[in-house]
Amino acid sequence: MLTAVLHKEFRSLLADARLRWSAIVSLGLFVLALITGLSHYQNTNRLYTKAQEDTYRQWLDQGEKNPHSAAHYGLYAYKPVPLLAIFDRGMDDYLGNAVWLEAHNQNEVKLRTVQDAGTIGRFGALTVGFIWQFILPLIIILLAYNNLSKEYESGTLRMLLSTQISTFSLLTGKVLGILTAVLLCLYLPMLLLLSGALYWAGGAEAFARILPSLGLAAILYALFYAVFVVLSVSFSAWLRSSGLSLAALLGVWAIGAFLLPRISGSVAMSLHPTPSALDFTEKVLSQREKGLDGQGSYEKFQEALKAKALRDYGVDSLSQLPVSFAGIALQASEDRDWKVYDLQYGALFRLFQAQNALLERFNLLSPILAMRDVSRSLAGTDLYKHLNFTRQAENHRRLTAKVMNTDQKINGVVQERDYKAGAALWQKVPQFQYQNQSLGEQLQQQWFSLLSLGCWLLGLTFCLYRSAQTLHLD
Amino acid sequence: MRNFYFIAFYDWLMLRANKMLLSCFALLVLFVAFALWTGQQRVDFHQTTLDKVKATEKRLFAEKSQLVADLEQSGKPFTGNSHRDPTEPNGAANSAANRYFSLAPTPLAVVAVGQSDLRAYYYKFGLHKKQALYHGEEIENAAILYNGHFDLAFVITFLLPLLIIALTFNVVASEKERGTLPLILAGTTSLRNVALNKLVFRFGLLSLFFSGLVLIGLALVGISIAQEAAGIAALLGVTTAYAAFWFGLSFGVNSQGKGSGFNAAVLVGVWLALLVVLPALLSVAANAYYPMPSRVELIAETREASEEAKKNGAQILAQYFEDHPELAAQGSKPVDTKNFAASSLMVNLEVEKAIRPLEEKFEVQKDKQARLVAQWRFVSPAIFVQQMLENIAATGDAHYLDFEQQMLNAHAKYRAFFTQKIIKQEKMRATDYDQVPKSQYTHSPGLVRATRAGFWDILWLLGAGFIAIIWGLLQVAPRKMAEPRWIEA
Repeated sequence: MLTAVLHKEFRSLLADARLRWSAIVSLGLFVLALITGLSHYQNTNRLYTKAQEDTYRQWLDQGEKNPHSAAHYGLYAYKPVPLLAIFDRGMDDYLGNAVWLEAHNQNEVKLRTVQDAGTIGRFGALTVGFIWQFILPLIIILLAYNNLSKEYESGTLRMLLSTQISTFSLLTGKVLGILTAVLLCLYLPMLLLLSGALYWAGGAEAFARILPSLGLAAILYALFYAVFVVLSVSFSAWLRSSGLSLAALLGVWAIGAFLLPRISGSVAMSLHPTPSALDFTEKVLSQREKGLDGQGSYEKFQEALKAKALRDYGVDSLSQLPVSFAGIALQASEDRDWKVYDLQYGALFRLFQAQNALLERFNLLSPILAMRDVSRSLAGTDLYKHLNFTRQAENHRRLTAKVMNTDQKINGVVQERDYKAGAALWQKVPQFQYQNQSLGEQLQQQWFSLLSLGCWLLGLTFCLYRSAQTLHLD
Repeated sequence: MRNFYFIAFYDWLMLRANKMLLSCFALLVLFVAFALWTGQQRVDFHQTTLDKVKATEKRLFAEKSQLVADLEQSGKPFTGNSHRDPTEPNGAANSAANRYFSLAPTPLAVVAVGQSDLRAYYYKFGLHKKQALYHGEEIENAAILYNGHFDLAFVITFLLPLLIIALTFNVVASEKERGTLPLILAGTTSLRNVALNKLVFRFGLLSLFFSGLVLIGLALVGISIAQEAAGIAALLGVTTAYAAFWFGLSFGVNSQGKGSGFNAAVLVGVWLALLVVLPALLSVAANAYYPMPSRVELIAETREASEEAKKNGAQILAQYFEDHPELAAQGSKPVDTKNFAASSLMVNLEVEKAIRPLEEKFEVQKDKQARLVAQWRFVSPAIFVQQMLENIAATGDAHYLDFEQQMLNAHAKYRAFFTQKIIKQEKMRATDYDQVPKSQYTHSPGLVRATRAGFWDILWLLGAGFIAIIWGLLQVAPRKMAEPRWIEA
């Protein structure tokens, strides 16, 4: 009997003008979003790949100069654009893409592309993720809001209840019927188009690499739509009036999609306020100058370093050292600075994480936000990936400094600051290659959002069960 | 007119008894309170930072000029890091005589966060390349930036229409669904007039309520209503016109005589199209027609230009003296083409010149995108209402552009002061510190013109609302509305 209900719901929805119109509109927007995503990916990917090669070439072609000057010139690290950014651009427009790796200073990742966009850019970008997270749930609401209430209002509920089907099976059949129609007529064509586009843009090898993430995302989105179908049918059964059901469901959607993200931002900022750039920079500079743990000022530190070097090598003056003191001093000053950066940036990143943990708590109140975060994570366009990139770039910066200072220490013993090195040394610094996070790591980071989605599905199924219990004629 | 009072009175009674409608007004109070609180938090943060910036500048100038005065008196040389020697103009400009150019938030900045979370609201002047001015970004959590802010502009642009839809989607349909429609039709007023009068009453009620709420809210937040009367009047004017548009639209949809479900679906569909889809499409179009050049390319070109210029440092300096012979003639001191400070300054200027063409490409494309958006803003009232509210709050694109322009002029003056000293190889005396150019941002009259462009926007809102009402009035005879119908999908 359940399958009969499923079959009937599926067929009646197929014949419904609403499904036709929503398919036309959503597929039209989807194709536009896909084209935009493809073109954005191809341009940006090409630019960033070229920029990463250019910066390394500039580094290798520096000519002969003192290693410390080379470290000051530095090189840039660019955050690569993942193939799945075509599907979900996530926060990439709001996160920087380039960081300057130079001596002495840990810089911030800069170039938020949204800065160039002006007011219109703050309205949101038309991406596949946006359509799947915001538009499709709304379409489901518009298709299913009156599923039970129309039975009440038109009197056909009497006929249904007079059959032998249990009310829970009736509701389940309806849910499955609507879900099948939505998945087959709206979701599946979009998924196939997306897969085709990803294959075309990335090639077979890249496509094979992202297939696990894409497959998992596809399943999670299907479950996400199941949440909305169950939600709509439950409200429709509970509220009995089509108008009221639609108003309530639209209210839930508007709150989950528009209000909660903005409210969460205000709450997070007030509970965990970020320091101003002025305060942060001042703190870093002052700690670098005065030193941590009683190291004292930079001058005192230099004196202590000189004394230690003379003791370690058993000589009486710096000119007798078998190594370059400049090399020792430079690396020691880097080590000293790195402690300050780890402390200050570490505190800042912990603050961001506290803010984000708070933002994530709000995902429990909205399946749309939970799905948005999971989707971004799988696509590799979220904050965790960005922090991961920041860490890897900083490690590369420190490696560069160490290679330069070690060379200065060993080979610069006679000429000190006049010592010049060439391409042979520059080549010792490898090209910066960002290593992606594994799928396991991404899922671990998103455990709360995944849990939220699970709670919503289970909770709503229980609501559906309760609605079935109370389903009766007035 | 008597009819209106009659209908309004009974609608008032009905609204008072209807819990869902009462909760709309309660929600509005919550929204406005939260929005003004959010706006106030941000304005306070900016103001606190700017106060610190001012204090830092004052303290640094006082400290360093005192240090220089002491060194002058004692005759001793400076013994610290030579890059930070306050007795040398380049050392002073790098670490002692830094001027800050700030944009203080206006009182009405609580209304709209606008671009104030993305754009710089102060710049630190020094002797580095002009591009370095843009490196001082405020620390912001990208996730919070992405989500946007719950400010009054958001409440007006996005939430007010939803509340209007909730207040009006069943103004006629509920009569039909409850069975009271025949009673109304038995009266002397046409259903069309009843609906119109009801909507006019609800429009008046909502507008007055919202205006009162905003005035009280702004006063509580510490804004002087008398002083900001013009801005507040503009704010309430825009909001009222925008509300009129949505009420008119609702009337048009209600006049179709379909069920409340249909009305809500259509109105929310229009809301989604106007506020979410069309702005996103316009953004896509702007980027497709006038794509921004890559900033990544700008970085690569700047570094190439830097390397080139550094190699030719001495030549560039020599060329500068050729172009400015009045500076070469020193009298007692010979010109030193190996002057490191002078040559590095010249290198910076040379690099700026080299990348100017690429920078201009950015400016041209940005300007073209802005023009396209300005021309096509009428596809969606959300775009121009948001822009108008940002202009009232002085946190829109136009203000930041103006701020940047004035900053560049001030920076040029600042740099010229130090360039003179470096080229002439003069020292920085304690008295020179008072001579370092100081500039302040002033709101340009041109921006007032930008706000006046709102005239066409208001006209669009009132016109579109009016057309929707006329369309509604021209609908089929009221009798059809009374026909029993199965509830439509």
